[in-house]
Amino acid sequence: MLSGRKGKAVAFGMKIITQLGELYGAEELIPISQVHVDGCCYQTAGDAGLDFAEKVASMGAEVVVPTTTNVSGRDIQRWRQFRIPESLSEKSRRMERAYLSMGVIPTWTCAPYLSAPLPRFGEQIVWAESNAIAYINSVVGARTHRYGDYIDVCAAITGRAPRFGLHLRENRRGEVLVTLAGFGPELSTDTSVYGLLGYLLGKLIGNRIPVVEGVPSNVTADCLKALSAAGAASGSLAMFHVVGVTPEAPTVKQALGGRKPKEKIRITPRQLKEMKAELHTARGDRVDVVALGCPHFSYSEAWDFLRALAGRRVRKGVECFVYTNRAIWGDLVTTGLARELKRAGVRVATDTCILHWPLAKWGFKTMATNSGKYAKYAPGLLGLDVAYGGLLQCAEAAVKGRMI
Amino acid sequence: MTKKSIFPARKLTAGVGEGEALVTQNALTFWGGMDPSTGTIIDTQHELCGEKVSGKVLVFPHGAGSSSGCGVIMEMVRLGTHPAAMVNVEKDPVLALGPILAQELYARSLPIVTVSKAVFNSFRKGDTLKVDADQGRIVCFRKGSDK
Repeated sequence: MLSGRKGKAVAFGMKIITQLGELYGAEELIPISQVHVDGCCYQTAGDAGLDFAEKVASMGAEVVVPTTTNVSGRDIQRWRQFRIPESLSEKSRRMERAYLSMGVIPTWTCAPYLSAPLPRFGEQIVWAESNAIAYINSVVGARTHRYGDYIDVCAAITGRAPRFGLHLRENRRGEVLVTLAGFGPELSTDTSVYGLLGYLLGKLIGNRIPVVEGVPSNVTADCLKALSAAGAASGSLAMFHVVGVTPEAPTVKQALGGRKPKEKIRITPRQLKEMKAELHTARGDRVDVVALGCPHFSYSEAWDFLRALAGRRVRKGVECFVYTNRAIWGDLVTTGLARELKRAGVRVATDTCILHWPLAKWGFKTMATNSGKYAKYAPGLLGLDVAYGGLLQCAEAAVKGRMI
Repeated sequence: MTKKSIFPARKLTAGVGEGEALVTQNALTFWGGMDPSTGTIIDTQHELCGEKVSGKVLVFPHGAGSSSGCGVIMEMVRLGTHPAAMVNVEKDPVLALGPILAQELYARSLPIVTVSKAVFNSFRKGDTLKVDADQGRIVCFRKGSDK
């Protein structure tokens, strides 16, 4: 492949993969069965990202394994409606076209684990997008290292990855034992608690693998999604074990691989309260925008949110945006939930990312969200104040214009 | 008086870079934490928020956050707002790929090296560092050192 007999693009991909593999002391490459490509959003890296995509596409690159795409820079169908400038839309379109020419599956989502093709337990894959990496490693037990943008593309056109890191069983053992103490039933369903927990874990643990005990076995997948996203945003969390919940952690002993933890940490509600104080930058209780779906809203989150709204409408002067992917949107349309969201005054965007919407430029000041990841990035990236709360609080904020 | 010291370093990405050291004990987030158009740190939760990294030697333990970090580095190299070099303790694939691809696209280098914790702790803000990734060493020039 490296010699160029399989084409210029494959040779380029092999060169980059081998170079990265050497850096990490990998002695060989392994075949992989699936790729999730990040970096197909124009705003992520501007013209450099577009230069890369068009260069690889111009070499005649074609993906050799099923390859899904992360978010695009725009809602591909409704960008005008959401006031995306023509110039930005055009750059996004070029980016989408470059990737489509390689034969990707156009999922345009940061939550590829919510829809097909879903890898099975133990499958060797290459995923980029930090929240998706943490989720698929931890919750599903498929194996990907913490890859960055572009290496994913090289893996997709070669079907290979270096044999190292989280691809190997011995590197997937837990290192730090984290015990949750003093929590109530909110630990089963409140995604915002997991946003805070992830945010704290990312800070405390860096890139080590935590084994979390004390999570109820009926915890929702949405909670684990929130944990993945926040942990990968505040630190480099690429994998975690939740004892009795995630597949590589039936017991503490197994999660630790029979070894002693390098460190033990106890987390109580008081510490999460401190984290909340850090993320909740809004001073008053007024909220003018509610933004949900970071990572992309799941079907069950939409269902929960509608129940919390209980037939009430979003208040005049408040915008409520929900971000999701087309697969979930399709399900919401088919089952009638899309109509209910519309009736409630909720605006749903697909294909794109909440973090690329210039909400402050549009005059919004304070945003309510249940996402630890969004709360981390919004003040710096978008210049917004954040009111952090659970999905129920966000529903109240949408109806009342206040976060209580 | 300028004191010159030489430290061992391991090459992650190729090249030689020299500049004033910008040192932090906290991990740095590139995507969402750095404005590539100005080369400024915009992570409001970071102690270096507001600092310009362009032309400096950025000394931080490891990267954090989004796997899009390498794209931000590529864009910084394209615009010329990138640091002269980076010094880490831990190898970070997300960061290393940025300079590797920037070399392919724009034929410009941004050396990244890793050093031991002890070496890492010996650098201070205001030092001038010459990072030679290819030779595997960092030369540190410290002004007015009384030690």
